[in-house]
Amino acid sequence: MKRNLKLITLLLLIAPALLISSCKKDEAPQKTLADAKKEWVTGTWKQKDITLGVTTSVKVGGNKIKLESGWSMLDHPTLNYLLTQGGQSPNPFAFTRNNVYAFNSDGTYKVDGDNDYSILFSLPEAGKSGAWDTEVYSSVLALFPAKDKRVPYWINTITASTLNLAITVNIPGLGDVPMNLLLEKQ
Amino acid sequence: MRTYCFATRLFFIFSLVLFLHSAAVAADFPVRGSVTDENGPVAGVTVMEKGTANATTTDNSGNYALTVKNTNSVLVFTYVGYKTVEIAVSGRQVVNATIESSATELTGVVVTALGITREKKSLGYSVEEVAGKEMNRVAQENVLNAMSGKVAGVTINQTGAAGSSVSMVIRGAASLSSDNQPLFVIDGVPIANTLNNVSQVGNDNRVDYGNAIGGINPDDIESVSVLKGPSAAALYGSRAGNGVVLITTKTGKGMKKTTVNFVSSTVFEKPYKFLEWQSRFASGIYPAIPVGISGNIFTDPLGAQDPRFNPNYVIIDESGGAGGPELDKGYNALQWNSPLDENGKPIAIPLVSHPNNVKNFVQTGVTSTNGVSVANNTENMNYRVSLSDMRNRGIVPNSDLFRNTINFNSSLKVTKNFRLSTNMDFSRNRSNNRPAGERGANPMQWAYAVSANTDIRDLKDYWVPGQEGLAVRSTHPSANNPYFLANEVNNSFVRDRVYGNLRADWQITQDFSLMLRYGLDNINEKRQTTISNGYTSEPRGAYGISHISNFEGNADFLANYKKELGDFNISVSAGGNTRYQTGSSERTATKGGAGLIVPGVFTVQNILPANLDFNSYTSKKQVNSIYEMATIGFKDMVYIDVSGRTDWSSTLPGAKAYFYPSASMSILLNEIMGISSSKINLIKLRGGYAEAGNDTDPYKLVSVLGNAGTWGNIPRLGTSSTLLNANLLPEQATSYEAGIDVNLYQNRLRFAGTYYRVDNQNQIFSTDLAPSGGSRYKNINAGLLRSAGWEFTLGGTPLLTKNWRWDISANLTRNRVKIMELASEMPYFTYWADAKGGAYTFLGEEVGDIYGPKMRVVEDKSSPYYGYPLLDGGNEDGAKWIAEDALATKNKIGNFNPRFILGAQTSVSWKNWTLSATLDWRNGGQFVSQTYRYGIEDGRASLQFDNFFDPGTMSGKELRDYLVAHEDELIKPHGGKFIRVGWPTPERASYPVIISGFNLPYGGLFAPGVYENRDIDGNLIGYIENLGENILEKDADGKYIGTVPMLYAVSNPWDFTEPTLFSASYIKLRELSLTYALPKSLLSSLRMQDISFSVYSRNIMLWTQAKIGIDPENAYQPTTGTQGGIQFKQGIERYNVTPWSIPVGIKLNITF
Repeated sequence: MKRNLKLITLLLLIAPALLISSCKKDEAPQKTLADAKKEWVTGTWKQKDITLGVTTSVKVGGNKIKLESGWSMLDHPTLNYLLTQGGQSPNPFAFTRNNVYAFNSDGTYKVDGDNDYSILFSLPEAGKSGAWDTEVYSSVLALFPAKDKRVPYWINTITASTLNLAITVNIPGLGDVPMNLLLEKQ
Repeated sequence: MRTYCFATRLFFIFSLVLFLHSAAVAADFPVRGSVTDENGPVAGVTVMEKGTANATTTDNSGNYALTVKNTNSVLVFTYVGYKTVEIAVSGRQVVNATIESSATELTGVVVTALGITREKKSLGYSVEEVAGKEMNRVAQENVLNAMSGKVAGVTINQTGAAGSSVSMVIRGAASLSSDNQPLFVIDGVPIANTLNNVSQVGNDNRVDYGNAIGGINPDDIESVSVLKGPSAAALYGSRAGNGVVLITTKTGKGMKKTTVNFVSSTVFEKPYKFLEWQSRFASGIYPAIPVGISGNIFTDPLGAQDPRFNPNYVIIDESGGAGGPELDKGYNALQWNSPLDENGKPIAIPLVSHPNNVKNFVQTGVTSTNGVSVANNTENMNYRVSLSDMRNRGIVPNSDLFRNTINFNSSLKVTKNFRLSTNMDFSRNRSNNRPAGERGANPMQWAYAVSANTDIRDLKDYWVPGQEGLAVRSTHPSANNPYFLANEVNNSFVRDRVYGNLRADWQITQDFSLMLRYGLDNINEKRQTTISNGYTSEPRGAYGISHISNFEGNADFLANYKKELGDFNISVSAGGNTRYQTGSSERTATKGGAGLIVPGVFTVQNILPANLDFNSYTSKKQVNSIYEMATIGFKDMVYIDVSGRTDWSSTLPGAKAYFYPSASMSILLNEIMGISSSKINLIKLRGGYAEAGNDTDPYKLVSVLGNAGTWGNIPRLGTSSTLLNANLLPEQATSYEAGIDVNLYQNRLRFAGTYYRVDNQNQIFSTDLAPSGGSRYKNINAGLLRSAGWEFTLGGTPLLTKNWRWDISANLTRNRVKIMELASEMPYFTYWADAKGGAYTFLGEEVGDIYGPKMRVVEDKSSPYYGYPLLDGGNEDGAKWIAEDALATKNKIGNFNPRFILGAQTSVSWKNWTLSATLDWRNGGQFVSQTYRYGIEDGRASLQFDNFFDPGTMSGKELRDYLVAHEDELIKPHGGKFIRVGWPTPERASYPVIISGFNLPYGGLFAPGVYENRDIDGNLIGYIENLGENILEKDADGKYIGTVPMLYAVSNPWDFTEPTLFSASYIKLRELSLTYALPKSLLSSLRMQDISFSVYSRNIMLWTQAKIGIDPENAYQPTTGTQGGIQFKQGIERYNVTPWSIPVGIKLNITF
């Protein structure tokens, strides 16, 4: 009888603990937007376009020419005219047309292009390869072409199939110009 | 010789006794004595010679004298609520009796109008009494706070922190012209008390100096009777419209010897609950990220335009809001307190959060109260003298409050039938500094305005080094330093008060008595404000002094005649009163913003004559009154009261007479039905009708000239902009009341229920006039406000044994006030207009309704977007909600009055231990928080984030479809929600936004809804969705055709009242105390009468439905009143945000 009493007492003590512990939900950790964005970055991307990032104007021969944000640096006639100096030289952004950017799941990246200009006018300072990561809630794509060099690129928008990176390209005579690098997942 | 004398005297006395004894047996024999109960002498006890009609009653000291037929007569002592006691005279000349309360009869007598003590069962109206011991279990600074939750039908609100005014409203605020505060009468003497004690020197330095009732020492109070309706209060005539509170002070009655009582209490108030403020973002308008981290020049738009730009840190704007960079992310910034390098340039310092700024600013409040009283009672005289000292150190640094009182109460039996008594109270309330409220010089406002990137303690040394007294360190030139405000804006006051009375009672015959009394109440108050250089609204300092004095004298008489005629018990009283009041004030101060000549010198001479603001005011008023009352009782079954009062007031046209009648009836059904069961002790029906009034103040009939400033050096005089009314009538409150009282099970279960209705006519208020007439407003007499409600009280003693006693009681109140009539030109009455909305009451609607702007929505029922917010789209600032005028749309969003109020008290005693608690539940009603309105607009209030919908990884059409599928929760307006999609930083979906032509990569949120699509002629051709698709997209004409986000810092619904309308429901455990009284056996060995020790707390549990860290009780905002001066607005608060605290107090009570 005494043993039974002890058992009952023990059960009474344990029961609430069991009841409480059974209330705890076994929830799967929710994926944050930052996690999703990093996952989306991972993979191989083909360049779709490079567009002007700001609306601005330039003076050419006393004429003020307005340049609209969103114009293609590769194909827009006005920009093409300016960049080729009226067709006298090639458009440097045209060399980026076939660029392919691979952000591998092992944290390395590689940029393939037609020539050196291909990278200089798309991801300047990134070099052809290095390490990559995302920062600031995956809104920054940080490239590490060398151990002591960090080159950040702002991710304007990203989905599973599209990536829009903010880049700044130095155009001789104009200075640093904000642009957008538009990529499509392969 | 000495021995001889002694023996002779002894023989003489012995012979005399023998002679008297034999004479007494043979003839009429005088007997005297006193009647006491456990609390001391009992007045009004009937002492009757058994078997005869020969009887008398005990006087105020419990004494009686009666001549009986012989020495063997038997005296019968009867008193309602007590067991009848019979004592044989047995030849004694002094027969003292002790009576015990009877559980089988209704207990209690109460003090009614004019101080007349009545048996509760005979009253035809509701009167509730709170005993002094109930009010003193827990020490309170203001005696009104001690009544909270204890009386049905009474609403008490503390308008701010300790020392601020406390509002008491009985049966609803039914007067438009007064502050609805009841008349307070102490020992028969009306005393001044008003709610609006706010004044200011200097711009935006509104200070509540507390109402005068706070000067009373709660320990001097014996009991408080609340005469709730005109039926109970009609004998106070033109002052009774808002009810009457009768305070009876302690006397020396009942003391058996010289009794000294010492009471000491100390309470510590540690602040623990603060506003729900965020500490995630620093000062600023954009949550910038250093360009060196982001790689994008547009993540630091302010820095990019600043010559100090550096990619390694951001430059924040500390002028206002808290929408700046995220804290604790490793970012650096140039800040207001950045150290300087060797070249004098500021060095960027880490952006880290300081979430405990306000907690670090405030301090633990301490209030200590010490009091001593000496009292005694002899056959011919009783007296009580008390001294008290209260010292309060406030929660806001450098705030304090002191109160000293001396109370003297004495009664002298001059002859057998003539008694003189007096009660005088001297008090001094003072403070070295009362912190300003509202906004401006309020230290709490600025403590909450310190952004989380600043450690508030860095501001503690508030003078700029080397410029002490001249310049103040602050986070921004437009910001005030809270420590500076607390220490250098000093609002001090000294309020000296004397009130009291001298009274003569003459028992002319056994049935006829006369009372004469003169009472006075004199208040002298001096206020001084000093403001040092550096307050942003008074940068050159300010100084001001004011002197306020009020005097009221009342001379009155009351003749009483009582007679028993068979089964009838008749009491008739008639009296008169002449009241004389004077008031004056003088004020000299700097004009707003004018400043002092020499900084830090606070004298009137230090103000340029042209910068002096000065005025004086004086008023006189006299009211003469006569009143009469008759009570007829029949066989203890039915009681009928009738009364009338006529007032002649000097402030009304021609001092015309106004008559205020009342009639009430009490029917004791249990007596009529002959129920003698011990289980049914009382079944009483009661009802009454009465008229009472609200007089008006001086200068309300004819305009007088006042100083209108100068034109150059030419003085100007002018009249008020309000056209006065020379035919003004007093407000007239007509009351109907009915109720039932039931006492069961030897009075251990008690119930009372009352229904009342009060029609308040002839409201005195102002209406607008066309300015071309020379006046902007005119005073009129109009309107009818109807206040109706229910009051229930249920109490009992569930447990009563030798060692245990458990008492519990609860009261429930529901009151509604409606405006039934207004002036023809007024469709509604404005209580206040603020926060883009207001408290307007339309004809036929309930007082307290709050209206706010309505969000414009698509009203075309055929549209798929029916009910969607119709946004103001099409421009770079983002598509935002459109507010439609609150009055035009009659968009009612709440009401500041509660649905009901429930108060409960309980007390459990076991042997010498007593645990007591008082609970208060206010259910329903809303209030507007201006503090949160500013807090949301500035990005400080964390509850703004509750309205930010996180779309996760959804974007474009997926997001749009999700929103549409959940349109009731995420798109259509509901419950005061103003949903935005997005987040300030990229932590969640954050949308690009255009500011000053720059396309910023994040920081935008969008309001789900649609905006109009119009053709070039302006015709509506459809709606454009603002649902997450086509962010910032334009058509070929440059017109937006998609979602247009708003910058986080400007995305708040400032144009609406509803987002900061909160529930005013709360539950408060107002008082909790545990008392231990030393056993009688131990006391007697210590030669003590009583020693008890208590620990207690107030508001130990405070649950609010709003959960925003603001006590809904504090929803009172001072404002300039329509009747002049500053008045409180109910249902709205602005920076009335002293943190909640858990006071823990100890109290020692010693009587010897």
